[in-house]
Amino acid sequence: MTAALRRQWRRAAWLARDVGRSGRAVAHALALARRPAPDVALGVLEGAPWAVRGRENAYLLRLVNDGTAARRLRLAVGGTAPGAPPLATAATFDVPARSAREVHLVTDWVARFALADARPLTDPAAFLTVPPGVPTSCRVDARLADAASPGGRLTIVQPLVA
Amino acid sequence: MNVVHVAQRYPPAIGGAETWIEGVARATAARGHGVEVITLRVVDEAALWDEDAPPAREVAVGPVDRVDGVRIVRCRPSATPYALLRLAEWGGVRLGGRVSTELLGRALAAARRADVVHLHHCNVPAAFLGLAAARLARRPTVLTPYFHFGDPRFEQPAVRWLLRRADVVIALSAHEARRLADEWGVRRVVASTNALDPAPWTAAAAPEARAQVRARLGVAAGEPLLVFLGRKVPEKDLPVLGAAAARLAARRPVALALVGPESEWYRGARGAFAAPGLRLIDLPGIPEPAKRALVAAADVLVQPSPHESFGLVFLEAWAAGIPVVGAATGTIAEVVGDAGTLFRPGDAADLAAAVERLLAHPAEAAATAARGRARLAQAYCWTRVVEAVERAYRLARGAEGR
Repeated sequence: MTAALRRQWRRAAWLARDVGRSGRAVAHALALARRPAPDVALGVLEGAPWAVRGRENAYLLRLVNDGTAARRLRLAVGGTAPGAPPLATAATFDVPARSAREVHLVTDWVARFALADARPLTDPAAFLTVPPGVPTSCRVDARLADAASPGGRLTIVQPLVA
Repeated sequence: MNVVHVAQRYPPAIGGAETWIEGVARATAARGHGVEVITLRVVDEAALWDEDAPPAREVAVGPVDRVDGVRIVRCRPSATPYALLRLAEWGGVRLGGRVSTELLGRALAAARRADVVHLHHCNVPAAFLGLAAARLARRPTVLTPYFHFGDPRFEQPAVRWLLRRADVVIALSAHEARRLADEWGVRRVVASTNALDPAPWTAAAAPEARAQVRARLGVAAGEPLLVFLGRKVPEKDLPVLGAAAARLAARRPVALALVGPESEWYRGARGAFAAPGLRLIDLPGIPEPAKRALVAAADVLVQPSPHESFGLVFLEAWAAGIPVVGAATGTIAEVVGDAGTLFRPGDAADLAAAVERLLAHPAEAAATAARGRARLAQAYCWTRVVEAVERAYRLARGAEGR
């Protein structure tokens, strides 16, 4: 078989695969139209463009109760960074029906790793100068204990500077 | 009225369109409408185009959220059907962004509960999937295309097809509205704008805050600080800005801050911004308070891009009290008007001359910035935007059953 024929055959195979996938996708979409989105989820886990070891770093977490009844949700957050012990914290929050509750994680990536209701005050200009040096990375894992859906768990891997 | 927005991305993803969608969703929810947003579970620029993108760096989003009365459902992108997309390209259809089976399913379910389906963007799969969902649920559609005239990614038959199938189209400027009607055959166009609440910018614009930020950035007294806000992509004409800044720096030291998410193109092109006397302050997308502090500390906001559906950054600069320079094209010229300086698009010498004029005449520069700030309150407020959007919804509902 010539190279040109082999190329055409490969293209036809890709096209056939995509057509097959599209057929399954339509069936999947129709099934999803009947299945509601998860009632309980983490809406967002948001940090800054980079974290600084030894300084106060803040993260926003939004706990969402999309159901029709108030829920008590248990949030567990873990953190790992090179040279720091595994960090973890957990707490329980009451979230009214069809609403979300904002919680803040505050850590210095050394020892402090705590949940707070209010966002800590940070210097807005702190993110205008990129700290020198090659960053390592830190990882924040947040999990809603009673949410079975994949959205009950969110992770970010953020640059960490010394 | 129940409204479902179908959008490729939604904040915390950054961008003028994303800000507009969020502003409209929140403002209409505050006026008592039921508002739901069906979007992709994608924030990073890389994840929007690349299915093998690395894990989220600073923001991860879940499948459902609720903010200020708006329900947000985020859908996982599907595997990209490259062969089908290539086949479509042969037919003149060029779509960018991710396909999502889940988005089609969720949009269909949401459309059944809705009175209007509001689609966003016109050259991405999400808009076409949203239209399919609305048609299957027999609901009227409103489309905000964020049209970029002169950009081949917009000026294509697939976009024309979509524009003509929406019951009502919302344009973000009178210029866009006129051209969509005259050149693209759109029958019902409602002209609106983007908007900005200037309140959070006021503190950042205080003289002492400005001085502190300039000192922190190491900007010397008398050294001009120019700022660009936006994605670092070739469409923004950043090489023109680099060349203009180099011309200015040949006469005196200049600091140029480029703020926004990087692209593959930019990683290769960054070296082109090196010039004698030019100091590049290269920042990724930064938190809003940091952005406000930086813009307020700058001398001029420069937006070299020839294609913008609106140009939200001009409003941000006016809110911070600094003058702006933009390309003399369509919507940008309309938005900037007499509250800024225009240059010939693609002409680095003209851009440098425009910036130099503002730097040489600070009183005139301050007067243009003040005109811009006054215009924010009069023309670019959410109240006026929502009035236009509600008119579009009413028109679309009147178009039902045609």
